[in-house]
Amino acid sequence: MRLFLIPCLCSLLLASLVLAQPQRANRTPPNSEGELEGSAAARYQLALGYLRGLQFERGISVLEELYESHPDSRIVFDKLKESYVNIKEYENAIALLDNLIAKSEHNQKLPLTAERAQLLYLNGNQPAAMDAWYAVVESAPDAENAYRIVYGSMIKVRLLVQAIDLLLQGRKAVGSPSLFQTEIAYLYSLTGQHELAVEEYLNLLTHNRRQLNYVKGRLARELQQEGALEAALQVTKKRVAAHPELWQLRELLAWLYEESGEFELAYQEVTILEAKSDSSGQTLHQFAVRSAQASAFAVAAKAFEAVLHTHPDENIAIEAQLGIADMYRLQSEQNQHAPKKALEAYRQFLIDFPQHPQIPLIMTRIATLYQDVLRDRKAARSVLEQLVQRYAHTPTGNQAQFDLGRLAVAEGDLEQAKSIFAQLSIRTSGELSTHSRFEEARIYFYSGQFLEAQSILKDIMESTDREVANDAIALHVLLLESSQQDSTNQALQDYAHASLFMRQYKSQETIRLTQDILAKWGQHPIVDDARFLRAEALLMEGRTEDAQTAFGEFSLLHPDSPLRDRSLFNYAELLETKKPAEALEAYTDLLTRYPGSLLVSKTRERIRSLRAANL
Amino acid sequence: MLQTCSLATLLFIHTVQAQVDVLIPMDDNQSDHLKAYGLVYWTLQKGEPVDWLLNYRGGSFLVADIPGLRNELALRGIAYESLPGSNVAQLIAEVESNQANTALVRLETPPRIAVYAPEQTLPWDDAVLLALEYAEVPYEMIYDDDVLGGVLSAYDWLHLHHEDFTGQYGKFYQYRNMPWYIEQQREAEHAAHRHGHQKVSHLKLDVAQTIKEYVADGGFLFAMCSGTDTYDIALAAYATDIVPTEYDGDPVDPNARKKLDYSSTFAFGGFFPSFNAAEYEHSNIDAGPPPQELQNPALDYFSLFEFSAKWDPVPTMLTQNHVGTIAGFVGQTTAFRKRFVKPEVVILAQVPQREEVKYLHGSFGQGTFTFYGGHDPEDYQHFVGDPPTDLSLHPNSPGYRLILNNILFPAARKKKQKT
Repeated sequence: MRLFLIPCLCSLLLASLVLAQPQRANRTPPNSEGELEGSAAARYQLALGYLRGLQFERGISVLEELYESHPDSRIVFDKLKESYVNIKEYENAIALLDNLIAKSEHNQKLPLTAERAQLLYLNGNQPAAMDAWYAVVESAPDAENAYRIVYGSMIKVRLLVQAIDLLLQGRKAVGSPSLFQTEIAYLYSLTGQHELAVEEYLNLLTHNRRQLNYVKGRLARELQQEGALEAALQVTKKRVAAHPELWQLRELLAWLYEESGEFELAYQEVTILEAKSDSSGQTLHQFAVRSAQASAFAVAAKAFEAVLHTHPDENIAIEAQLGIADMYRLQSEQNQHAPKKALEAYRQFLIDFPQHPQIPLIMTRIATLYQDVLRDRKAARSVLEQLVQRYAHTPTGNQAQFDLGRLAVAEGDLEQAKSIFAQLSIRTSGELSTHSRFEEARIYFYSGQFLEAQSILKDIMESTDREVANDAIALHVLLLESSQQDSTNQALQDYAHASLFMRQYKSQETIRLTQDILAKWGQHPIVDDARFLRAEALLMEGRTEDAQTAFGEFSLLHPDSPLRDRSLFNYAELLETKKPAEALEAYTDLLTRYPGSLLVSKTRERIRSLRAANL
Repeated sequence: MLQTCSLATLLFIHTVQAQVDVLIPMDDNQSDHLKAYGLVYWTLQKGEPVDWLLNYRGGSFLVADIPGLRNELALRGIAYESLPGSNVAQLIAEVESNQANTALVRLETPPRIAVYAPEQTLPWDDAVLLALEYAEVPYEMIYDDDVLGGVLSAYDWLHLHHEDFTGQYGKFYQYRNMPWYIEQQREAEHAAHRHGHQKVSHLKLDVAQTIKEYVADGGFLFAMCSGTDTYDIALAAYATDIVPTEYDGDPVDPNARKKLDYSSTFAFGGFFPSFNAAEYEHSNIDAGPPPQELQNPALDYFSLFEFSAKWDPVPTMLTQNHVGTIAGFVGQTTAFRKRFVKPEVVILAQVPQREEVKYLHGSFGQGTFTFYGGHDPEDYQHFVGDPPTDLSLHPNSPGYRLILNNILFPAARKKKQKT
């Protein structure tokens, strides 16, 4: 939808329409032109011509003459009244209406009198207008239609609060408490009285369960107004407590909880609904899917479990079982027990449904959990080998092959890993191929074959659109800076070994080897990288204070290192929890000392966040 | 009101101080032009004057090296240069020299800034709010109740939101069933009734006239997009009804055109309002978007006029920039048709080859007004519901600089002297 572009054509058409027929707020039903014949019809056309040319006085003058000669012509009456209104001669329009009212039958008088009241209001006489409107309903106090006529007239001039009063009065007078529910709810919503609006909708729902979708549809839009959702929740909760037997109210409450993001509370309502319904678990399952889509993984897992528990023999149980496993996997970062639970659920699924079409995906997820989360290499290998065997030369099989390569690196079998990545880089295309090529370069690096590594890295660096291009550039620069310092490249070789240890999560070995490098090769260009790697290994080892010291002293020991800003940032990050004031100082130091750092914007964010905490 | 300091005085001040000053260049060497304005504001808040070097390296700033300044510069990512005392004297002499169209204006008081905007969140952004937030310039939000309650005198600078002063809710009739529109209409009607008006258009006219009094008394008014033309339309239509039935329940006055009083407006005269409720246009003041073939951010641009820095410091301040031409941008009011701009109004920027004014400035009573056409200088066409522009991606935006020039320009006022 466009905000600032003008729909020219529509505008021109509408403009001409408006000029031709200025405003028709108070129009009574049109009659055919056939009432006028001969010269009268011609004069009527003349009047219309004048009005279209914005010559209101002349047009009205002709219409007045015509009305005098044809007092029963509705078409002349309507046009004359409309013209009076358009030039704001409300008194003349009212006088005209008065004539017609005097001649009309009782049932015809009601809309005319309501229209008269509207004109009185537009003429600035609100008290008289209100009297006139109420005179309409007082003339037929039991007639629902009279209230509707006046209501329609009042909202045309946006007397919304007065319209509410009128309809409430009508409800009482007619003796039907459910009368005008949708109209009153709409008016309450328009006037920002959200609680009362919801009360009306709930009344409607109480008497008619089928209105649930209608009510949701109306509320969906109205809830976007400020404070409306809170009000709706409050009122609906009370109503559900008072009438727990009305399932439609509980359904609405569950929906409102979902709308407000309170999935745990919604779950409680949905389980009650499910227990009483005959949906065979569908209600709960659909809720679980919606919760998962809204990232409420814990609630979704509970809902999937409930489906499985209550409907173990239904088809839906298969989806639920898979859902449970997925939800645990997605909670891996927040819950340390989740990976194992996810694994158990996936394995159970494999046993229960060995022919399910999602099996390749599930096996891949199992392998990833073993390899990257639980670090169980043996189990990971077993699953990956099955995947490679079953799905050879498919994307699933290729990815499993790649993961086997990573596994070989982790196990120290570099030849095996190199062979896998070399094959993959030839056999596949796209990101997987480039990634495999980069892994091949890293293996040459770990093995001390730096020239071979450089050669591959140069190729990758040319593919700037690939994700690994930046990593390739970083390794290439490291090799350029650190090789050729001596004929043996011993320091670089040691550093490559330490990097491999780090990749294999061998933090103690990494620390030992990097300390050796620092002791033996104090003046070598690799020393700053080694010190940085050591600090990272200390952190992996859980020696936070040592890591903090290592990052902190880094820039003092290596004032020209390209890693000094990163190191200072890590130092500040580690200080944040226990020493926020010192962290703030360190971040500020980073900005002052390294204004061109890539970490500047992240650093600013951290400073602002710490400042916001009144430091 | 404004003071361009004499060379001797400034040389004396700087010699006596004999300290290192900081130059914040505003040319292409600046890493974050927008944040630089916030830094200047921060310095003024500390009670330190700032020298604005008009037309010198894009309108650079010279600041005393007060404690904490360098940290703030680093934190905000603003490029700066250290200048020893002798170099400062030389620089000032160069700027004040008659050989160049440059001048020095001393900024002394941080202006008190008010943004006229409703509390309700509307589905579009406001370039001025974005600029103030990004540059970290403090401001306060005020609206109809505050304006009519007399708070304007507490502020030096007032920005008009994308307000519709004609009382037609922005002519967003197609959105009339959207929650934000309903809320906006409800709030406006409540406010009108609170202030004794039957119609929203009457309330808005009351507000517009109060703002006019504020300007007459020395206030600085800055408006963008539809906050510009609807303001003048409302003032011109004080004696008539230009609002169609769809918005206020009664028809337009058939003699509305004849009853318009252009003598009561700030910038525009001779225009006619649009009486079509469905037309997304308030009047013929707006030139609208450029022709279809030019609706391309790469082809659509406008040019800033150059003024004499020494003789016309105000228009010079308002047009400080590191570029001479600026990428165009569309809005509900995109640019002003030149034939409707009053002759006494100063045109600051114009669209080349077309008789359209993008940026203008004028005086009224003791105060001034500045109107800037278009919605968002870094979002060529901003649509309802679009996310706000992330200014960290546009730290050198020339279009946004024009907005921020405005907030500093009232700072050139002299401080009130103690009696």
